[in-house]
Amino acid sequence: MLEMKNVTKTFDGFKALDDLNMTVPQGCVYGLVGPNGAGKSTAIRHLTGVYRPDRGSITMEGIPIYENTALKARIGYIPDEVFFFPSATMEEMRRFYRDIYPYFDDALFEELYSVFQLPKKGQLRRFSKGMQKQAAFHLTICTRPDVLILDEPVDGLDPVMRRQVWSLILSDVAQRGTTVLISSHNLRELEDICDHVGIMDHGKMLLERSLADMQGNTLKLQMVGDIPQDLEILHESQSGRLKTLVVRGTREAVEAKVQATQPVFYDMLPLSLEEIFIYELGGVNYEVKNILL
Amino acid sequence: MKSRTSFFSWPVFKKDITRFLPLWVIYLVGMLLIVVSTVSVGGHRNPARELGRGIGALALINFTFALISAQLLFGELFKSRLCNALHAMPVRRETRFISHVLAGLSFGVIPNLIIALLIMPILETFWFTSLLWVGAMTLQYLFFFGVAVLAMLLCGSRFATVLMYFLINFLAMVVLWFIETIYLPMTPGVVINYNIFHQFVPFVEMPSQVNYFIIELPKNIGVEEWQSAQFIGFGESWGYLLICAGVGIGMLALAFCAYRRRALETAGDFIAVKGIRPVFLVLYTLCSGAFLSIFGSLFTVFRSVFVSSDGNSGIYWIFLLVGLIGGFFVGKMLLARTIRVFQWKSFLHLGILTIALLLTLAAAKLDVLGIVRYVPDAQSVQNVRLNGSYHSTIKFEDETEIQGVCRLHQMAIEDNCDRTCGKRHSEVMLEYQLKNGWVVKRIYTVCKDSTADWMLEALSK
Repeated sequence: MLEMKNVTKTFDGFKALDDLNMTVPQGCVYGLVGPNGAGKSTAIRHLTGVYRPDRGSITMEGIPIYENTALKARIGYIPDEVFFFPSATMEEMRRFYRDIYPYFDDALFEELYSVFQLPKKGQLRRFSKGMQKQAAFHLTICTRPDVLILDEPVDGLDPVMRRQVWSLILSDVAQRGTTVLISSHNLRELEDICDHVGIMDHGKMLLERSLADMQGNTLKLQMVGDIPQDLEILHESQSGRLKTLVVRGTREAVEAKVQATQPVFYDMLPLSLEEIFIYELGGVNYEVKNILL
Repeated sequence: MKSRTSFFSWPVFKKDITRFLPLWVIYLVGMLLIVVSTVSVGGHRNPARELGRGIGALALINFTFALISAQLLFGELFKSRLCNALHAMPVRRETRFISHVLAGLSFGVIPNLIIALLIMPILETFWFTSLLWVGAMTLQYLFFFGVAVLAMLLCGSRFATVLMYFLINFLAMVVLWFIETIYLPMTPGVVINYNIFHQFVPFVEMPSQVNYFIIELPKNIGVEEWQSAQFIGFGESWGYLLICAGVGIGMLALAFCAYRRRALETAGDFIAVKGIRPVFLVLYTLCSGAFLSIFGSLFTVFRSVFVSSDGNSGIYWIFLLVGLIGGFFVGKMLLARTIRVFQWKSFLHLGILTIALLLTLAAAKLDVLGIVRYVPDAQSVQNVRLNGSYHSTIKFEDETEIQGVCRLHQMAIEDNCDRTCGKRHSEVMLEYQLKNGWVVKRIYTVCKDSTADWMLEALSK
């Protein structure tokens, strides 16, 4: 289990992380989402032991990650901008990774050449962005990590390769119980993969729970009639007599409140992750604004 | 589980050696050419002696090579993408640092070892001096490499590292310039010991050190020197080299501590360590003032020689002022990485720096520390030399005589003139050897035709 407790990080007076609390359960696929500048990449760099927090703790199975080579050997990290040594080839990077990571799987590395089909001898810096991402996946998966941390993992990949990568990740989760943390803006894709979601904003965790709970706790209510007084409304709109509300609460609780007002008509619909994201952040003044140019 | 501490990573070390192989091949080839041409002497010149004499000059090459090595090895700290990816890997900072340092040291040692083996046949009976030569090269390189690595760990960009490297290496020269040009005119009689300052600038001092191998040459004429010469021992230059190497190791230790504490998000910042930023700003300001003043003095000389000027020394002070103010704001721009630094806060800082400088000038002028007024206690003096006109020297060792000289010293302080009295001048030079081993020197200018005339007048009082 990965855990961040009361983590604060300031860069020259700017608070990038503000008392952040995050828990990534073991074996889950955790989607970390948030608007631009929310602090997702900063949080990830703390989880991978790159940054040291000003306050708080970052642990894996209760042990601090920072400067812990035994734990870091079990964490695979693919950043949004991948790195390779200048003029390195796949084979050179393979040798380097093999020497650094104790659980590096050479056999798997050979096998994955048939999946990613990357040239063995070409310089990685000459690859396209998508190919470099594939190379990063190729290398990182072979380190056999217990925790895989991915920052914008499929950015730059073609649709076929995206599916291939997700398939690899999920098969790793199923076979080895790998814990995966993904930071991405592609919420439609995340919705298909993640079982836990954390929504960040301004360095804080706004909402963190399993996707099922989240979708079960936020509903779209369409009704004709009086709106119940004690509903927690995230968003409200009206078209004629039909009112559309996005409310927080369980289906049963919301239905009971709505029925009490004896509406003419009502219906409750689940929300997509993208809709939850938009409406939750609308509550903290990050809503979609009507702009006239 | 707790991480086991390890101080060496073979993959990191191997990667450093293989990635930067071209660099130390170039160093090897360049040094080989220089050394072979040094020892391949004919006639009466002893190759081992020539090898020893050439050690100092090679400091200039090691000065450059050490900086390049450090830049390549620790350059990963300056690019955030590279820095983050490498530091996410399971390698501790201590391990990475030690591995890089060992790789850097091997860049300097291995090529020289190869060269030493290659020149042994040329040195014949003095073959072992090539190994001593490797030792000297290693000690030289150790100093410059230590400084370069420290500069890398204090800074966040390559340009800043080069600036910092030069600042550290030449700081003593800048301080010397300020003392000599600004403060010394305000402290009549005080003399600078230039040797002490030069010791703090190895880049200048090392090339002047030539006494590494003591080789006794035959006295009988007509015999080829190198056949009959004898190796006696080590010269005095080794002492300075060993001290420099010790300083280099100290700098590496400081760099190690800086690396352990380094915030990696400073990749790309000009100066990575927050506490060093004001220090850099002050040093950069002073250096800019010094360099522009030197330019101004050259300009003044040019005008007086070629343009028949009446020697306007005001221009010199203008250059100094412009250099200090310009240097301050350029330093601010470098630190902030923007040209928008002309805010009230910057002017406040400039004001504080100006006040601090003025206070030091006032302290010098008013002799707050009592340096100008200082006359040694006669009982603490072992002997004193009194030099006058025509380089005549009298040495006093008797306590009564020393007391007399001390009173004469006091009178010289009172009679010291600034050469504007319109009369002929003479100099009174005093050199005290104190019982605690210290040496105190003073030079006073008196308005008399000769020192003897002044002394006679002083004694009659």
